[in-house]
This record gives sequence, C-alpha cells and structure tokens, in this order.
Amino acid sequence: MKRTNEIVVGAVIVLGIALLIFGTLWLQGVGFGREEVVTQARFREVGQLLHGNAVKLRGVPIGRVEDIYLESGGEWVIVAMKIESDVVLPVDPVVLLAPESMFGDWQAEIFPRSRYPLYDYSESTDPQVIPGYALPDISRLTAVADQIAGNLAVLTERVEIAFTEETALNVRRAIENIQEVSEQLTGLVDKQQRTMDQVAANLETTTRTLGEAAETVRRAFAQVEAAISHGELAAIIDDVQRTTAQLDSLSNVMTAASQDFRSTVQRADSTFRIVHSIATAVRSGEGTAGRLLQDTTLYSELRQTNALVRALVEDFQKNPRKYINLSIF
Amino acid sequence: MSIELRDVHKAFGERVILEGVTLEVREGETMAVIGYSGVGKSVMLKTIVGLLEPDQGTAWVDGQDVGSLAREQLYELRRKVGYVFQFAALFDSMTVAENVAMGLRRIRGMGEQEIEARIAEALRLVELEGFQDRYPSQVSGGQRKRVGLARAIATRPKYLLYDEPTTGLDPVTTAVIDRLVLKLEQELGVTSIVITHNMESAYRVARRIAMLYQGRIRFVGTPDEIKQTTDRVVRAFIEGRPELAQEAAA
Amino acid sequence: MSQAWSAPLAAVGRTALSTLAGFGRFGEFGASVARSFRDTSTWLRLVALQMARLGVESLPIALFIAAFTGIVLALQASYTFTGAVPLYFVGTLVGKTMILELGPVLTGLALAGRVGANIAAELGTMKVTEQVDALETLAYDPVAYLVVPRLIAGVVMFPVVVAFADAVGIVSGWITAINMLDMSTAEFVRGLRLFFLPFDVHYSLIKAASFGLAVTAMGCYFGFTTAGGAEAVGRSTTRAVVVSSMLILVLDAFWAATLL
Repeated sequence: MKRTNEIVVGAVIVLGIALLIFGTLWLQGVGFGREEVVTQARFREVGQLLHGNAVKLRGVPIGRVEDIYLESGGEWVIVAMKIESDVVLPVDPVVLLAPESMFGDWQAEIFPRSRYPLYDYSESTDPQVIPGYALPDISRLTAVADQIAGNLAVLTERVEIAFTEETALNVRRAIENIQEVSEQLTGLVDKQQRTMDQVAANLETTTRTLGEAAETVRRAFAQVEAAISHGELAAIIDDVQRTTAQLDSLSNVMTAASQDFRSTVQRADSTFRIVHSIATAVRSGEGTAGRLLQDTTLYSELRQTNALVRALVEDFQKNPRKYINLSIF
Repeated sequence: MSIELRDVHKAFGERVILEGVTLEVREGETMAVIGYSGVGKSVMLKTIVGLLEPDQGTAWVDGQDVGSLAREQLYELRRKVGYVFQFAALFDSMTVAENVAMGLRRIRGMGEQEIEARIAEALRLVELEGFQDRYPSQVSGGQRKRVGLARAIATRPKYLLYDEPTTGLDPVTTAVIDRLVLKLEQELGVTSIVITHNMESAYRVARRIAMLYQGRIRFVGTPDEIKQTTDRVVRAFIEGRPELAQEAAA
Repeated sequence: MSQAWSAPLAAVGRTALSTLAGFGRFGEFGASVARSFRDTSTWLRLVALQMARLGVESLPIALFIAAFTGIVLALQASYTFTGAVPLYFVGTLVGKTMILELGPVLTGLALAGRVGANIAAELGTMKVTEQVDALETLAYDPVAYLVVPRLIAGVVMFPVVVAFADAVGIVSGWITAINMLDMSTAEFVRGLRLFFLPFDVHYSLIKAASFGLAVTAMGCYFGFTTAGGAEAVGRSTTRAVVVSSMLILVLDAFWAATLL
C-alpha cells in the first residue's frame, strides 16, 4: 500500500512537472524539434519590447525575444533573439522594434537596411550584432503631433498679427504696380519691335531700290558712252530723260518709305492702347484679387516678383540694346 | 533505579492539581495509585514520562531528571517506558499490528521478522491472537484496551505506566489483565505504576498502594497496611463509604 | 461604579493579550516544526502517504473547479469584449487569469476546505483521544510524525495540483472558445501567447506553494491545539478553514504586491 502511494505520488509529480515545462515552453512559442540560434541586435532603447515577443521576417514569425539587457556602460540595449537556424537573414539586416497591434504588444522585425535606410540605427563594432532601431510608439507619436499642432497655432497667431489691413493694402498695391510695369514693359517691347521690324523692312526696300537705281545709272552711262562712241546723241538725250524720271520715282519711293515709318509708329500706338485696355479689365476684377491677397506666400512671391521686375525694367532702360538685339537678330 | 517524584506541583491555569507530590516506586515493584476522579492521577503519570512538565519539583526515572533531559535523551528514556492509556489511544488509521509495531520500529536494528514475532507475542499475552489486521474501529472497547496494553509491552519496557487499565472491563478480562501485570513484574522484573479505582484489582497486583488526595500523597503502604489504616479518608475510599470522608473533613 | 468603565477596557486588554498569546503559541509551534525538521527518519517515509492524501486525492475537486472556471472565463471574456476588443483576447484573459489568479486561489480555497479541515479534524481527534500523547510515549516526535509530512506534502503538492488546474482551466476555456464563441484554435492560442511570460508560471507556483503551507500549517496548528472533546474538534476544524482561507487571500495580495 505504501509502495502504491509512492508510485502514484511520483507519477503525479512527474506528470505535473512535465506539464509545467511543456506548457511554459509551448506558451512561449518554442518550436519543438526545431534548431534555433541566438542572434543579437543593438538598440538605443527598446520601447515596450518584452521577453518572449515575436521576431518576424517579412511578417513571418521566425523566433522570439530571448533576453533584453543593457550593454555594459548602460548606453545601449542588447536584445537576444532566438530564431530558427534555417532562416537566411537578408544582406545588411536591421531590426526594427514596433508595436505588433494596437494593444501594446511589440515585435522585432528584421529588414534589409535598404528598405528603411533613414532611421538612426544603433551600429555595433561587432559585425555579428545587428543594428536596430525602436520606432516611437503611439503615445510618442501623439506627443509629436501635439507639438506640431502647437507650433501651427503659434504660427497662425503670428500671421494674424502680421497680416493687417495695411499689409493687404500693400499687397494690392504691389500687384497693381506689377500689372502696370508689366503692361508698360509689354507695350514698350512690342512697340520697339514692331517699329524696328518696319524700319528694317523699309531699309531693305530702299536699299534694293537704290541698287536698282545704281544699275540704271550704270546702264545709262554705258549707253551714253556708246552713244558718244556711236554718235547716237538723240538716244543719249532720251536716256538722260528716262534717268531723270527714274530718279524722280526714286525720290517718290523715299517719301513713301518715310510715310511707312510714320504709320508704323501709329500702329505701335494703337497696340499700346489695346494692351492698356486689357490691363484695365484685369484691374477691374478686384474681388478675385482680394481673395488672392489672403495667401501669404503669394504676397511674398509677388513682392519678390515685383522687385525682380523692377530690376528688369531698370536694366532694360539702362541697356535696351541687350534685349532688343536679342529680339531682332 | 526506579521512579521517583519529588515535590511535584502542577496547575492548569488557576486550577491547581498537584500540590507537592512525593512518591518513590522501588525497582521491580508494582505500585497502585488510587484516588478520586479528577484528583490528578493521570497528570502525575504524565509528568513521569515528560508529557507534562511540572511547575515545580522533579520527576526521576531510571536515575534521570525527566524535566532536564534534552529531546533525544527524553525519547531514549521513553523507549524504556510503556504507557497504557485510559482509552487505549490507538491510532485509528492503523491496523492492530501496525499500532503494536509503532514502538518496535523505534528500536534500531530490529528487522521486520522480529517485529512480527514481537507483535504476535504481545497480542498472545493480551489474548488477542489473530487480531493483527483489524482496525481499532473493528474491535470492542475491552479489546481496544488490550491492544493498547500490547502496544505498551511489545517493546519490553523496564517501566510500565497503566492509566486505569481495567476500568470498564468485565471481571474476566480484568482478571486476565491483572494476571498479565503480575506476570510482567515477576518474569521481566518490570517496575509498574497502576492507576485504578478497582480496589480488588489493586490488592491483586500491587506490592504497595498509594492514595492521591487533594494534590498530595495521603497514604503509601502494602495492601495489608492500607486495609488496616485508621485514616478515615483512605478508609472512606477503599471501603466506598463517603460518610467517613465527611467525618474526616469535619 | 469603577467596574462600569473598567469592564470594557479589561475586555480590550484581554483580547489583545489573548491575540498576542495566540501569536506566541503559533510561534512556538513554528519553532517546534523547525526543530522537528531534522528528524528526517520519522517524517520521510510518511511524506508519500500525505502527498497522496493531500495532493493526489485533491486533484478531482481542483480539476473540477478549474474546468468550470475556464468555461466561465471564456464566456464572460467574450461577453465583456463584444465589439470593442478583438476576440482573441479571450485567450489572453483565460490564460492570464487562470495562471495568475484563479488557478492558485480557487484551488487554494477549495483545498483549504478539503485539506485544511481534514488535517484539523484528524489531528484534533488524535489530540483529544490522546493519540498524540501515545506517539510521545512511543518515542515519536508528534510534530515530526504528524505535522512535518503534511507541511511538506502541502508545499510540494499544492503547486503540482495548481499546475494541473491551470492547464485544465486553460484547456476548458479553449474548448469553450472553439465550440461556443466561433473562435479558432489559432486565435485562442494567439491570445494565449500574447502576453505570456514564464514568470507567470513561477508566480502561480510560488502562490500555490505558499497556500499549501498556509493551509496545512493552519490545519496542523488548530488540530494540535485542540483541547476538550468532539465539540472542540469541530471548533478547530472551522477555525482552520476560516483562517487558512483568509490567509490565502492575504497571501494572494501580498504576492501581488511584492512579486508583480
């Protein structure tokens, strides 16, 4: 009877211990019969990571966190991970710690560094130790978001202070100035170009006419020479008369050319008027412009543009040839 | 080498039981202790084996002061003392044989076979052969008492303390136990103290009789002496005549 | 006149003194237990019997309680979580609660009734029928013979019983989750493993061992200090169960405060 007691008690105790060991290991997620190796990773801090948390590669669980301890000196944390030995880690691996779900359980996930190259990984001198980085958890992200919101509020406040009626007025004036200057500029450029085009065309015609006249004169002298040598004086007189007539027509042509120049100027003037009327039309749409004034970036950009344009105009006025040359030739 | 009480006092809270008991039991003799119920006979017996510690005074057994003994020495001493309890005090969870074997298992170097032989011998002495495998709940009151006696004598102790061994037993069984007490004294030279109310039994087994009265030993003497005593208190008790005691008190 | 106001004060004083005396007696009892531990020859061969009686024979009631606790935990967890929390947290709750709290505590309370009462009644009866004295006269140290094996059995076997209870509770919660909650095994196990730490098991076992000590010590103490008759045995038994139940809850809080 005593013997049976001992056997029964022994059996129950052994069974209980076996149950405890097996159950604990199973709950920890140990793979029975799988070869496992311990790999270390180095971190600045490990957030909420705990002993037993999952280690994943491409989302697949390949092991679990075996141990977490401070490196001597206390500056860094070493996380020992037990992972399946047949898993091939990516080249240049890094370990990212992040929440696994919304409920606070964390995981360690292994990535190639190229996937997230920008994080501040904790490099180790030991090549066996994988560099790691712990992502801020939700609470810290919330804190950062809160900070950003605070900064925005401050900014808005300052803009409100700076952006008074007067500022708006200044902006509007600046826009008007720009419009005006650009109109003037357009008009000027247009006028110059057209005038010069016309002058050039006229000069060409004149030159051609002059060439023709010279040719006629040369032929006239040749005929005079021939007439003298051939004694055809009457023909010479005729030729002289014809030449005179041609000279007369040349002077007519010259007059017409000068008249053309005048009409060019007149046309430029009418162009200027058209441009001016467009500018007026733009200026009358003040409602839209007023809305645009709310945009501070527009304001600063406009100011900048205005200044640039002013400089351009001044430069233009100083060195018109630079621009006109370009335009003509 | 014997049992000796010297000026033993014992009180439980405010209730004083023993008020200076002095008694010597000579080696090899059987002494009967008589006295009214609740007078402290059992308490006296328990101080002898160290179950109770006297408030004052000493108990000497086998030349040793029981109260001064270290635990190991006390257990060593107890191996020489057999104690028969008033209500047997058998271990309910054990068979008769296991009960009897309890003391034997404390003797070093005793093999199972010898233990069994001793059990059989002890049970034969109390005329309970073949009761080995019964449980205490399966035997009668008288048989229980005899098992208790068997347990006490199985270790062949030098001293035996009987706390009312025959109370409540039929006359025949009483006679059997009385004869056994005598036999142990005569054949093994056991020194015994027998607490009893049964005067007939006391006369039969005791070399001397002591009477405990009001916390002290009132009388010590042979059966013949006690029969002829003039002490009215003692006479009232042994003759069962309460009026004598009242006269004495008055 | 003076007695009118002195009586309540005297009552307070008496209560305080008797409480102190109780602690003193328990301290004395503890000291004698510590002393009797050395008497290995006496208690060693009795431990197996007590382990069988206190531990193995307590398994059915402990496992019965654990099984039903697991079922209730799973159902109540899903009821509580409905909509707000993913269902796999049922596994987390069943596992954590079973291992950390209900496994040890419910088993402890059940065994306080079963084992504590049993010990107190048995030792109390032995005390009033002089069996304890009989042990003494037979040169046995009653503490080494009766108390030490029970304490050891309690400290060793309670954790074993609790280990089984934890496992059975979790398995019954699991079965419930699969059959009554439309959960899959994968979900339940995911929840179960989610926050599991090996420390949880240590905690459970430490608690169980301390409960085992508390229950058996109270049973032995109140059994051993029984004086009187059958009525006294009943009183001791009741006290042993009440005090050990209270001690279990106090120890539960103590461990939670110190270990977590």
